[in-house]
Amino acid sequence: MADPLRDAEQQTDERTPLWVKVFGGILLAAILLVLILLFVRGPHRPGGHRLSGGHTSPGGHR
Amino acid sequence: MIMSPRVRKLALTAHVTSSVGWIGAVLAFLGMSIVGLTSPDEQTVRGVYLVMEPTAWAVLVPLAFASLVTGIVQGLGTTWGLFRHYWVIFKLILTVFATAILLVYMETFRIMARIAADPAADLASVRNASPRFHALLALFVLLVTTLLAIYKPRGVTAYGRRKQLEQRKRTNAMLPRALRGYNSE
Repeated sequence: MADPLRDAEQQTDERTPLWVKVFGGILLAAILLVLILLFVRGPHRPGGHRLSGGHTSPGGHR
Repeated sequence: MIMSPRVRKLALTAHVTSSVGWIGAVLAFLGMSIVGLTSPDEQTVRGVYLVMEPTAWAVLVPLAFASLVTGIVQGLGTTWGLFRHYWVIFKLILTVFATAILLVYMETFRIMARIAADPAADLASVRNASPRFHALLALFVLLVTTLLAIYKPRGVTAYGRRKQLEQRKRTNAMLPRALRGYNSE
């Protein structure tokens, strides 16, 4: 949601800000985690997440 | 290509509407998932999981793509660009990521609807915590993108700096000779 009222040209800092490094690291880790989960466990199955009662719904109910 | 102020405002309205609509739709899904997990009424529980898939196709998927496309238009049509500022890049990555996960998750909606439609399946196997988990996750990601859009944290990429320099040179060349020094300050 770019705000036309704020001047984009004002942001000219030369160094990579710390928030970019932290946010980028977290984002990269999260995307890698999701890709690994998708690759290892295959596409989402409904039984993949436990119910609060401790039982899962059968993923093999296809 | 930079949009005219009128077109830019229209594009911004479309982007804000679709993005906020997407958050609202996710909240509605969170509500449905809670009803599906807690309602004692069997018909209600089955109904929740039956209605999730068509509703997701009708509302969530179009809003996700609308948010993504209008966001790209906003980036390309304003001086913010798509790859000039870190916050824009992160917002784009998160939106693409959330849309991709949603498309993968459509298969889960389909499977849950099939279980809910099966009269032989008992209520315990119809109830599923997965939509609640994913709705919370989607809500978190969309709130982060909203925060990025509102706060616009500082940080220009190398490409963005190059573009700013080119822009300054162009503007400088258009100015009368006496004013040229002031533009680069």
